[in-house]
Amino acid sequence: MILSRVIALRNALGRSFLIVVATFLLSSCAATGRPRLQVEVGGLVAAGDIQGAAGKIAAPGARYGSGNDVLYQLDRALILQMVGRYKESAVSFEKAKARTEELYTRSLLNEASTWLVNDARAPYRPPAYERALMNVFQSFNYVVSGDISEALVEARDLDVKFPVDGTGDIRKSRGFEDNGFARLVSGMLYETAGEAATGDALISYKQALELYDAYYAGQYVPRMLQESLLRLAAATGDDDLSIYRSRFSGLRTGIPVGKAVVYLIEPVGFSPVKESGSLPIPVQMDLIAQVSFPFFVKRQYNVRASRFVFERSDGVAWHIPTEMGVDIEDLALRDMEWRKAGVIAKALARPALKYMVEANQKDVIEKRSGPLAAGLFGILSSIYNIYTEQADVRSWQSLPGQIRVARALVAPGYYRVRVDDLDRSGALVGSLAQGEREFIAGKTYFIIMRSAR
Amino acid sequence: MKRIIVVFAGFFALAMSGCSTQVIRKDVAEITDLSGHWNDTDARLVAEEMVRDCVAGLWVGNFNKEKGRDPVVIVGTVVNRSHEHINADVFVQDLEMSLVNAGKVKFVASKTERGELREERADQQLNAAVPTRAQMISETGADFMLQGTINSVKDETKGQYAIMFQSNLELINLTTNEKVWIGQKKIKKLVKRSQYSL
Repeated sequence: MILSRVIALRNALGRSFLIVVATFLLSSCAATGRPRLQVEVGGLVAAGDIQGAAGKIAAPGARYGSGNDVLYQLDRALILQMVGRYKESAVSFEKAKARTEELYTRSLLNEASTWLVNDARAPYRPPAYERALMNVFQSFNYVVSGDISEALVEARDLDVKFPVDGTGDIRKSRGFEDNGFARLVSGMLYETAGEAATGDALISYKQALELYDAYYAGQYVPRMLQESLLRLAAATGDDDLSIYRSRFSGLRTGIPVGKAVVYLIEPVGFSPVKESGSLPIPVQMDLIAQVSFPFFVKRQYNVRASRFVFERSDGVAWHIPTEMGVDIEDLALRDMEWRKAGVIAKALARPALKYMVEANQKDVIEKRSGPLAAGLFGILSSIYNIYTEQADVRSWQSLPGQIRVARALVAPGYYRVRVDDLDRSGALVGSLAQGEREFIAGKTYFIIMRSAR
Repeated sequence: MKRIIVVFAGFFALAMSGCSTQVIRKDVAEITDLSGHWNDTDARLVAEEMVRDCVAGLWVGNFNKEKGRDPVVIVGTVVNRSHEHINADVFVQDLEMSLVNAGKVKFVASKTERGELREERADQQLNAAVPTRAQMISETGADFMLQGTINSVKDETKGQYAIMFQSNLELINLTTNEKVWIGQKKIKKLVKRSQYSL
């Protein structure tokens, strides 16, 4: 019965039958949303079950499907870092970087399929801000293991990928790679490497200031960066010291003597997720096209401030407030806004192109097999359009919403370290403890604690 | 109908061929540049050339004349100052091999290797038969230490980049801290990448 109907349909549509079948088969291969594993893992992270997420994403055979290798490695790397599996995380970041480099060469066939089906047909290419954050998070893998030399490789790689030329006008050509935070981290790393790298540290801090000023129109510079600029400019006799002194007055500039330097880094919350917006457009009585475009939706998280607490065994405690290093949520939204014109232009052009092809084919069918067959083709084409025309909603979802930072100068000794997370009103929403550890004078420490609440 | 089957079979064969894994064995001496990154060939070539240059230096003859024996060298740390994660151990091992093969200097085990050797020697004093025991306090001390850095400079423009790796090695007299030999080797690669392929 079904077979006889298919044969009847085939006879009515003639050669177009094969085209319809082929396009449906092609579209069935298309990724039309977030990879299922990414959704599952993202749900576990959002629920605070990071160990569960790590187990799932690092399970043998776990993948996001073809074209999503970079995305998989990025999520895998960051989730494994959250649970302290730094070596495995570093391997995944390197794979993501290598694959991203390979993706410089675009496949023409793949590009063509993004015009016929949707943008998710192309392999996932991370935007500039995600590529910069790869270096930042990879450097964390090395600093927590005390390997400053390998962490500095990431700072140099960032410089090669995103040179800052001092004009403050870099975004016109390459988008938002970061808001200065990556250079702030580079400066911290160079400073930790010792006196020989002080010049490199100061250059990185200057670049960070340039990028923060460009991003926030001169309205926000982390206090930690202000102090670092004053400290290093004074130490090296830099020409810009007087400018920094007049701009950042009343801050400590001394070089710590007899203290341990502790950098506190707290990735907080969740980055926004992309959703697909759709708009059906009737282009003829029996042909419907659809325009789809991605947009970011913010995810809820409660932590809006935090403080690191160093507590001695006698109960005396020091509270160091953190400050915003990078607002990844805002970075993602601004990056999308910056690329919106191109995305929408393509979203509009694609249905138009499909319509032209389909209208042409419909005329041929009508002449050959009559209006009934042409109408049938129109219905099938409309279903195909609505089914395939979906926005590319892929993004690096395990990223936090913000990274908060603080720099503490600690007298040598043993301390219990914890971070207190605060909500918008300053009320405590929870704490993350790291247990007791020793800090030695003259040494630099990096403490990274992820808050997912 | 037959034509359609043939076309589908062709597509199927093409699709399946893309999924297969192919392994080709290569001679380790063969230069295989895949990405422009620092690789095993770079490490080997730089080590061979620099050690050749090092042992041909005047310092060997001067040392022979002064001490009446071959100098003893230890390989120290090679610091990676490039923008790539380079496995410096591979380079250090290539340096050690080239030094041994050069035959003009003696070469002693590194700090980490010595730890294991000392442990074994101490164990022999308790457990090995007396005539077969390795002697304690009989290690050969090094006269010189070879230290170095690997730096990189990358210049990139759309579709291509030039990358230069510069390896610097210094041989330092362990008694006097004098630098008796300084060597430098540069490798430059031009990598072209097309923006589009089929």
